[in-house]
Amino acid sequence: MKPSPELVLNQAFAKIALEMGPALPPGYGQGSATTTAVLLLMVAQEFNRGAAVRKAENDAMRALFADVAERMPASLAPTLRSAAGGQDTDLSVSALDAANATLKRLLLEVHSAAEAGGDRVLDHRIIRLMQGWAAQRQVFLPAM
Amino acid sequence: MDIEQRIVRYLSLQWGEDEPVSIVALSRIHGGASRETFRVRVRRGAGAERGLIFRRDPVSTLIETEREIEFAAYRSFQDSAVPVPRALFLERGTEWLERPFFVMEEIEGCSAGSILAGDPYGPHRRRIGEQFHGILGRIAAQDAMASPLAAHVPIPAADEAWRLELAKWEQVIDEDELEPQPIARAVIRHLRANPPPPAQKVSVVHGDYRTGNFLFDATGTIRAILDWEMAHVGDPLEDLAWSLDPLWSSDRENPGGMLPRGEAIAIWQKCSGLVADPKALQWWTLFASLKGLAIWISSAKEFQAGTNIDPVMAFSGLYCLPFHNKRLADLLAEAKGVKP
Repeated sequence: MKPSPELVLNQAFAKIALEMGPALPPGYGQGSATTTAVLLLMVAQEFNRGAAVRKAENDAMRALFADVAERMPASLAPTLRSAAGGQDTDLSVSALDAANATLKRLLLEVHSAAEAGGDRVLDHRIIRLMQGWAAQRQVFLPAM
Repeated sequence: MDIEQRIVRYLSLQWGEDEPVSIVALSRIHGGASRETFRVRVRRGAGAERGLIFRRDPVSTLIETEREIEFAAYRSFQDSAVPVPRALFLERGTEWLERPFFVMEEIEGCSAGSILAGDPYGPHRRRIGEQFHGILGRIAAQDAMASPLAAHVPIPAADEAWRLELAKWEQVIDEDELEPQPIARAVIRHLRANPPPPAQKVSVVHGDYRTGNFLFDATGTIRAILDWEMAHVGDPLEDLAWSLDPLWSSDRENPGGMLPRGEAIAIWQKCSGLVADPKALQWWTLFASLKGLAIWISSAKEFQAGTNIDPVMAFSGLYCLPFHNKRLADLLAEAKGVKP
């Protein structure tokens, strides 16, 4: 798609934030225009990386579940083994989001079980994973 | 009947009809996502113009709050060393502006800092920072039980304040999350398993004390502390930790774009007469980012559901939510001694 969506959104941000917004009378309309422009800037960042970020998180959770399924409570282990064998065949962001939510619900259980069982190594491994994912999902804005 | 006519009718009832009320100007203020805020310039008879602020309940809100609480909070600090606008009328009925509202005097000739500004206070940074944390100390020093606010909110015991707040915001996440929040859940478990020491005293907590929620004039004097909709009674360290959260400015060395953290804490201690115990402040620091996350989760839900499509709500979900998720993950890792 050319021009690329990222470029279009960035240019739309500049148009609204730097030209159209300032032309409005100060107040609610002008403030909303500027905030709307900033939304475009954020969506532009997310557009390019959205699928890759979600796919990487899903892969990491499946790998984790494969590693730890055997030491989890018997009620959880089969679900983890099954989830570990899954894969993302539909790479649309909405499909990846749905899989991501399912896997994160399982991750919550694994993390709780690790803490309850005093498994410090697994606890720390999960926290490191979540730190990395949170960093990848951050959005950066220019000072305005 | 348009909104101007409705406001004229309402003010005429409040002030009496012997002197006719007229609207000189009316505009909506941007940013008040928790309430719709209108600036109204009025004239009464042949008198001078006067600025009023109308805060109307929204159809949907970023934070589910009671207008009575905010109104009582303003009344709690009227004519005190904590500058607030004068709260004039509280209207619970819906016949005037379709939804309940309250009216305050406008503090004129002032501006508010933006969390997106690199240097929101310019040459007044130090002067504003000293006042900002001094005023917060004075809020903590006030006798909460004697304030009008105390009649509207629960009064926790000193060793229960943390539990009450944690439960409140956990419930918000329970009710509003659109997707699982493993970082928030891990933080909640950690906070519950490692409670802070009891509050030194229970005091009025502003609840949203930060850059953007106060007005200052051209000389760098803080003229009003605003946005008391999350006010409650609790551990005063909650406000201190919230005010120091890094979201409030891109300036990482000076929280809120004002003073270095250590200086801010020292001023707060001096003006409150309290001590910011490092262990307790660490707990409230982690809690502050969790509370922020809960608010952004709620705003994202409102926008997604279409119940409030103000762009501020989307901004909260797209920018603030990932910001606090990252912050929480880092703080949790630090608290648990996780090695990189």
